[in-house]
Amino acid sequence: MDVVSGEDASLLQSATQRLLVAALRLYLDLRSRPRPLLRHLAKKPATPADWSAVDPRAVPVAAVQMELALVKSARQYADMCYEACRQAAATGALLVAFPEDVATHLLGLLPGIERMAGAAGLGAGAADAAGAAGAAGAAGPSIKVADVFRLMGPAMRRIYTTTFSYLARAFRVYIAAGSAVLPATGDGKPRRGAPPPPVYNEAHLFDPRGQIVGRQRKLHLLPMEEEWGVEPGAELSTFGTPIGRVAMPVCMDSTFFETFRIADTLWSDIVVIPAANPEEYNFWKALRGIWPRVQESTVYGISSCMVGEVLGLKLTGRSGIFAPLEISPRGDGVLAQLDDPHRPGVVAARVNLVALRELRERRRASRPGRAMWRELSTAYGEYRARCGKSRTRL
Amino acid sequence: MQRLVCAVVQLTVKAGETREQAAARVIAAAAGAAAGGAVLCVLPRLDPIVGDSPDAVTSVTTAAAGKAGLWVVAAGARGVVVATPQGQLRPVPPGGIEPASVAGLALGLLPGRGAWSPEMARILSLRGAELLVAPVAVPAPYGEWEQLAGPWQVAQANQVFLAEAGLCGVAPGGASYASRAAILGPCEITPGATGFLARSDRPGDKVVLAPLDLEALTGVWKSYPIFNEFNYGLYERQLGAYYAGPARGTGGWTS
Repeated sequence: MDVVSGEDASLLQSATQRLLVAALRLYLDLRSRPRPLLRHLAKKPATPADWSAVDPRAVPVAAVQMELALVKSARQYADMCYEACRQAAATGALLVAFPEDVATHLLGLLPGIERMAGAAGLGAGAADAAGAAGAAGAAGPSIKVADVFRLMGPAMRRIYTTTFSYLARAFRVYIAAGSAVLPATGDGKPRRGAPPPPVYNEAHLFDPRGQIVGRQRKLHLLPMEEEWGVEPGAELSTFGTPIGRVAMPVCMDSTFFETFRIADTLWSDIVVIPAANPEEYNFWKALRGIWPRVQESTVYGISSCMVGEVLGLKLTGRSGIFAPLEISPRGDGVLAQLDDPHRPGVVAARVNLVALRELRERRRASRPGRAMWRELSTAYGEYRARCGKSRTRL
Repeated sequence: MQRLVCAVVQLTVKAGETREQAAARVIAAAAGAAAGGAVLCVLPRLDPIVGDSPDAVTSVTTAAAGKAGLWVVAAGARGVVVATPQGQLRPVPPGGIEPASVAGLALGLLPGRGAWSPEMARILSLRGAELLVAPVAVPAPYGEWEQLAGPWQVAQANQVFLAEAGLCGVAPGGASYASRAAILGPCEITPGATGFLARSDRPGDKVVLAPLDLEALTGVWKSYPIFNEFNYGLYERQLGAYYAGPARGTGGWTS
């Protein structure tokens, strides 16, 4: 009678898992080839934007509100993005914003992923993605959600980049193509003896030539993302365009006034916030993000929300375009906003960069100075030493 | 103390009223707050109604506190005054960006435009403030959106309570004020998740009362711990530039 020791069984399981992961990578490579996707997209009509008479007093911008649903193919994903972009471009927009987690649809390419909804689910806040791993047959029970994104990363990045690069070029618009959870390095594969590559929630800006001209890693994470193993970014950047400087921090970053103060310092005109808010919609809770930030720091804000329910996550939001009270026609800080927090759609408005910059100059006199920064930076240090990661009463 | 009742007062500026009559109204408002169970009462900026002599605001604030037997906070042209239930002045930290211990709470003072400054509220909250108080006199018009952009949002951004007291009406000199007296808190622990525990719904003299539940507040800190997510390295590298004077550069469309 053969006896298999625990160690042997473990080695066997480990070898089997490596084989399965390798097979999955090959399968995903095949499913994410750019050429078939580009041929598919090239059959679709696209009217290029008119850049002949850009007026800085009325720059047309749009935000896409998109539904999160798992797709079975790269083509299905591209169709969804194309249709949203077509609708946005039809408004005359020169800058089109997409939501956070804009590549998560592509988890649907992972065989058996839907069973995850019946298991842990992303929304369960579970640190391990045993449900997904088990469903995929790809890894053991200690795998993190970040590992799933590492596995999927190369295919997701290829499909996402191919799709948005094509759409930006075809419609001749800037696309703030939401954000995607992706490994830092190209193929996401573990290297022997090296730690796995960090995973970031990263936003991308495509120019009308289809080039990536900006990347921005999410700077403040949700507790859920920390549990997933996502790492925060280290720096806020802004990107010059013919229609103003654009910054694109991600979702939770708009909870912190600090993000927008930095964006203001970097001469941002428009701050795009891709969002995927995992909670039931409530007007007041939703008001806590981009709207007050736009009031404090003199910029326009574009919020593009992911909605829908998938893998145990329920996402809601009302995409909109926001302005400081002083330069919003109704005096409410809202230029345009979708009504339904559950359904996809497109919202568009024109922003007046001349009025914005005049307002910024008027406000400059009341900007706090170095003494405030000394107090603030000291207070961060005191808090960090006193509370660390657990806020308590004095 | 885990739970206490807080009051904010809305007062009307009345043409032809003497300072003594105004002081009597202030004292009556504090008494009304005490009758409602409040242990802390926040008054508006008082100098437009009781005068801006050095002692006017102090004397009416301490008198109101002593007679009603509760903590009273008010403001004048020279800063914030805090009075004990015994009618004594309670020294407040110089500069005002340190919380003061008042009625068992860490109290942060936001006079003037402080409630519209995200930095002031952040510093006080980092230093432990649980209740921010804004004893203000806001020039009219003062709409709901202005309140949401200031006091409401700093309460949300810092997950603290905030008490805003205000003046309304037209002063003899022509200055016009509008008030939106309110007691605010994190959406998670306010009715309908509105962020408002209680608020004045019309002009005129009014005392607004609400209980502050500190256990619920710390529950919000645990369940939605936004202060855990500060990106200190980012702030160290990039935030200081905002405060280094006017930003440099052309600000051109493509630069």
